[in-house]
Amino acid sequence: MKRMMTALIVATLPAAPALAGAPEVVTTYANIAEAAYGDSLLKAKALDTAIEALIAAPSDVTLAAAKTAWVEARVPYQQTEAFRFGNPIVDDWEGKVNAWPLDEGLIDYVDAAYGGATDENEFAALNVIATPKFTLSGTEIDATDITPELIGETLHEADEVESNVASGYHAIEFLLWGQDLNGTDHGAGNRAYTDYAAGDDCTNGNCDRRGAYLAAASDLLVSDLEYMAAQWGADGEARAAVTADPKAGITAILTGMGSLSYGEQAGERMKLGVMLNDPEEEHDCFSDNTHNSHYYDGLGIRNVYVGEYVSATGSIVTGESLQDLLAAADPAVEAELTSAINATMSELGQIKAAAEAGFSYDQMLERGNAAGEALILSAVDALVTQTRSIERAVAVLDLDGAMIEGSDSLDNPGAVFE
Amino acid sequence: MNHSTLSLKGLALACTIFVAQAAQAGPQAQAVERVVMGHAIPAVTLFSEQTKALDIAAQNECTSTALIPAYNAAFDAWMGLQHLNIGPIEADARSLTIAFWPDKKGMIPKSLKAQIEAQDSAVFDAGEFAHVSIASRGLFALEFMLFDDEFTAYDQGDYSCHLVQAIAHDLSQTAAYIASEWTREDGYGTVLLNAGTADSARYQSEAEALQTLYTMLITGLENTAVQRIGRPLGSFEKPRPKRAEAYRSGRALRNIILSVQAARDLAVTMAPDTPTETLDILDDVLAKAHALDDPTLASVADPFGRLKVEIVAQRIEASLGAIANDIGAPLGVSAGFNASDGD
Repeated sequence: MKRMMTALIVATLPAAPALAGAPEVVTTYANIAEAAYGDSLLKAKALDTAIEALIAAPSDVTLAAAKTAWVEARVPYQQTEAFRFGNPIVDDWEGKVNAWPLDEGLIDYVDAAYGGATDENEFAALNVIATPKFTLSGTEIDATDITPELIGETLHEADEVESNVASGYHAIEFLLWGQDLNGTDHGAGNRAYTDYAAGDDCTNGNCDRRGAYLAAASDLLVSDLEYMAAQWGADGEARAAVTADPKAGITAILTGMGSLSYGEQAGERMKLGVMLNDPEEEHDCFSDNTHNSHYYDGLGIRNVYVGEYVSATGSIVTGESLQDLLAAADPAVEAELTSAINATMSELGQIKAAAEAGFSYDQMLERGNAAGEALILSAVDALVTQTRSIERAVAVLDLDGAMIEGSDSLDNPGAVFE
Repeated sequence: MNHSTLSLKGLALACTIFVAQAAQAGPQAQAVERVVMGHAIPAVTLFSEQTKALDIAAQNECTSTALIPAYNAAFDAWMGLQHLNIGPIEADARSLTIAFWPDKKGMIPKSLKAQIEAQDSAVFDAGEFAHVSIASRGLFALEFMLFDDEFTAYDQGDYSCHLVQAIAHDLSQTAAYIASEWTREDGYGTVLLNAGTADSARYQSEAEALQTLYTMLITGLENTAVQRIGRPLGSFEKPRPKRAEAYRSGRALRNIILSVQAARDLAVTMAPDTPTETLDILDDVLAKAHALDDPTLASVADPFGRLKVEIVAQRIEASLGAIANDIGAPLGVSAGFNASDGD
């Protein structure tokens, strides 16, 4: 069906103008992906080292070091989210590393106020760390050994429930910070290092199993990122998918930018949270790092547009960009989109500035907190405005046929352009 | 009273613009005009009237048995415009405020329970209630209050009664804002009708205005297939009847039918000529949906039942190709980004 629709629409349009420079633009895009996933891997390995140190010698110092490593690891990773919706290879995979929101009671102990099983999820309070053997959808599960395979293949999305998030950044975040029980007051999760202590010093029970879970989840994150970094390497499939057909590649760039801006970031992650006044609707709800997650998501969109990425070691990846291509096609639309993206960065920067000065993202979500609501909703508005300009860029570059089903059309990019 | 004056005034004004432009309007502008005048404005007006009636009924008698007919009428009216998630309906997250679904983390009962336990005084102040979590507002909060055994046992004068009254009033306020912002002199209807002129900063061309409305047509049908039908279907091994929309009020199938009817109306109104293929498919969808005769979609748990439900979703998906042929191609538009593009 998609094929028929697309063929028909394309047939009605005038012959596409040649996208001068398109091959160079998609090469820059792939280079940024390679660098950003490479950095994500590098920082995940640093996190893994810090986690090993925490488990070997639990203390306030080793726990704080692991948390710092986690926050740093998020910086390059969030910038890769602009690659999600346009590239099926990324989209099919990303749930392993960044699924959210989660019913954290699946993994470990939670506060009584969390409640138990829900209509949606009968394993919302399973607590694998305290439960070496249990039944899942009629199958006996032996979780005596907590391995990356158990987490990735059995526990993650257990019972086909999305919020059964067993792996990735947010599972690790929960194991480092614990639940944030401060509501919309200032303060993040406050897990004590003794949750990883040996013998009588162990708090909240099963410290050895908790350590085993954390170590396995961290190993799994590293191997998942190894896979994705390779997809964008010289011989990687994700790189080949965008470079083999530059027009499809340009469509992938714009689809990723628009879908992340609008449906995902403005809608699911920002507007919904402020309308629910619920601190658990924070993207990084355990660590209160949400202001950074939003900021680096926005920056990732800007990176793929201007064709520039600043790596975790300070080096710069740059090249011919979508912005250049658009400027050649229609300078007014280019000026509009550039200004819209910069305006978004300014709004996201204000959220980050306020949060780093002590007005944390969960406080912004409090009912009746007009200042917080205004900060978040003005960033939402900027993202929506930016999406309109992205749609104009799609029209100017004559990619309309590809946009028939929004991001969905990219599930099978081959078919779209046949 | 105030409100209906406003919408009439706006309607007259929009008519003026329509006449003024008709002489030179191209096919895209004509399609926008047809949709604004013939589809959107009647829908926002009806929703405002029905929620006003629900509000009046609730202030008069708040118990669930008394309110259910007015509740259903208001929900029916919402189904006539819920797909138009743009402009005044998207602004201030109003569509989420009116209809927070799916509630994946079960926040509605949690939020209502907390409010009842705390005897939250916001229910006595409409201004304050407008800042309450959307989990305690709108049609789905009201559904719990009117249909879920855990909440329905209240009497006139109880806290829960005041809560129901506050939700109904808040809903009617939101609907009045939507109607006013669609129909007033500088409202969204005018913005759409003046696309491409200095009076419409939002739309730089008639094509952009039409693309926005066309995206709503496609997205509305996709949402019904993927969310309203897809969520309860779950997988063959694990059907999820309790994920059906509004199953508590027995409206799951009704909402599917009404959403397809609304899309059919939008398609016919937008199309430059009778969209024959589209109508064939959508009428078949409606016939098959009616034949399910399963208000809560509980039949998804049965292998034969689920097959029939699945076919309805497949036929809806098939209609998208017909719409592209009948409407998108002749009018020269395709769908843009939509709010469901995230996870």
